[in-house]
Amino acid sequence: MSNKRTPLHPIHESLGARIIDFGGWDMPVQYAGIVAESKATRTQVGLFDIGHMNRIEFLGADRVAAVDWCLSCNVANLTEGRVKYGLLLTERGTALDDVLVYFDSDRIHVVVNAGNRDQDLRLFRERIAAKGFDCTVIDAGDGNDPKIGESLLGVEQTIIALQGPNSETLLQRVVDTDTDLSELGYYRNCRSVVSGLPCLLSRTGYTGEDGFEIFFDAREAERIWNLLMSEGEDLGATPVGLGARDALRTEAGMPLYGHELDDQTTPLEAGLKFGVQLKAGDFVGKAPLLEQFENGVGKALVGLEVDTKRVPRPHCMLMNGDEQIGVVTSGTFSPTLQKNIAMGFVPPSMSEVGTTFEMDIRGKRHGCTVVPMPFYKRAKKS
Amino acid sequence: MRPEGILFSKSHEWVLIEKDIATTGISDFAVKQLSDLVFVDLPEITDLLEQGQPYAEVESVKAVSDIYAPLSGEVIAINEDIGDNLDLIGKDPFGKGWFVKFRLSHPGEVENLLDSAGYDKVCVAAS
Repeated sequence: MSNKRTPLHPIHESLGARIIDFGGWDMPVQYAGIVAESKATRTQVGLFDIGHMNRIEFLGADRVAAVDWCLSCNVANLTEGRVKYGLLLTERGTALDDVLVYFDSDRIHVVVNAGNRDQDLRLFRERIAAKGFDCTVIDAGDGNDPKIGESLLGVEQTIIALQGPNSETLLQRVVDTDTDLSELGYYRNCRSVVSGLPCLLSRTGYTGEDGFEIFFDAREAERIWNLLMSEGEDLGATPVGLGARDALRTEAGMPLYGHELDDQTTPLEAGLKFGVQLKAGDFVGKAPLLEQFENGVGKALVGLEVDTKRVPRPHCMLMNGDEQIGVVTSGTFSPTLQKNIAMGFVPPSMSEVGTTFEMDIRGKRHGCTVVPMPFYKRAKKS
Repeated sequence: MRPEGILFSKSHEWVLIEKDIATTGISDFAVKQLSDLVFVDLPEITDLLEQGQPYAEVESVKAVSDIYAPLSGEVIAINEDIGDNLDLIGKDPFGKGWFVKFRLSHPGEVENLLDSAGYDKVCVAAS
């Protein structure tokens, strides 16, 4: 089966991007280069095609209870315009995906990862049907969904992210005059119009920088991309691929499904307690998490620095003498910090900042130390 | 410009031979593929290279790549300059961007290498 492509694929090809497979999608891993693209995002503004990710809409009288049952975060206490991080879990409390929940006036949106799109949609539908909730689930990324006409946009959507300190200035230039982006706080969403197109906007992202994600009519993808590039020319607007996106999110200590999260790992083990609400209502996977919260976790995610210029990579073993104590889940040379950084799982007893052990990088051992995360935190606006 | 008499491996290393001493590095094509270099891990003097076996690592932001010995021999010099200035590899891959010099142990192995025109065909097929 051939890979899927986003509506921006022709643009990536015309820009000479290097294309890789990511979760069954042909996606640009880099355009000008990871270092240049990372720098543009940290200092100006990067454009990211994230059309491989998806948005699912939940409508109906029971939509709040339905999404609350399916996800680990407390959806019931959200209010219009809020965005919340949460997880879709197995009955055992391990992660099937990590998602963002957007609380809208007459519906809820859930934004899911590319590789888990089909699974998530199926699970939401199954779990909601099993409980008999009055809730319609629409795949906003599928123009053939029988209910697409009832979705917010009424047509198949795509997503572009703007990330970086110049994001607000750039986006403000192309939204209709009723939307004042300075009023849209971090982790908030609103409906707006970009260049005449109805859209959903959120102040969210996956880089540790200020920025926005724009959900709009997929047929207009190329026009909107080109508009953002031309309007953002003086702001340093730069296409950014998945290579820089991965380095940026690692610097920001953000988990990537398949690396820090999988169906063998609970959110408590991955340090994602903030995405889990154990005091509110029931959800799939809650009981084992409560037990783990009481009795302690079996492994802990930590930040790591290593005493070599050789770069730590996923799957490098963490060793204490002859014993393997853990594994690296993400590792890269950090373009922003100009040093090697990594995340990995270790036993909780070895997770304190300052603990030292060894990392096996392709057969050679190097000393490594547990360090605080995130590695990079943007300066707050004054 | 590629120097006269330069030979290549299919795995994108070059080698220049002067009597029984060879100098090696990575090709202009390889440099383009390995953008954003951050570190080169070179062998030590007296290490033995074996044709076709990895002897060095090039780290980019995204990935690590093995660098293979184009011929067999004993390392007699390593290019200390590239450690602090990785740009040399990109700017002058066949000159200041050399990796190691080594004393050939099996000169007959050159028959496994390609000349400049032959190597170009490999690059066209790979891109």
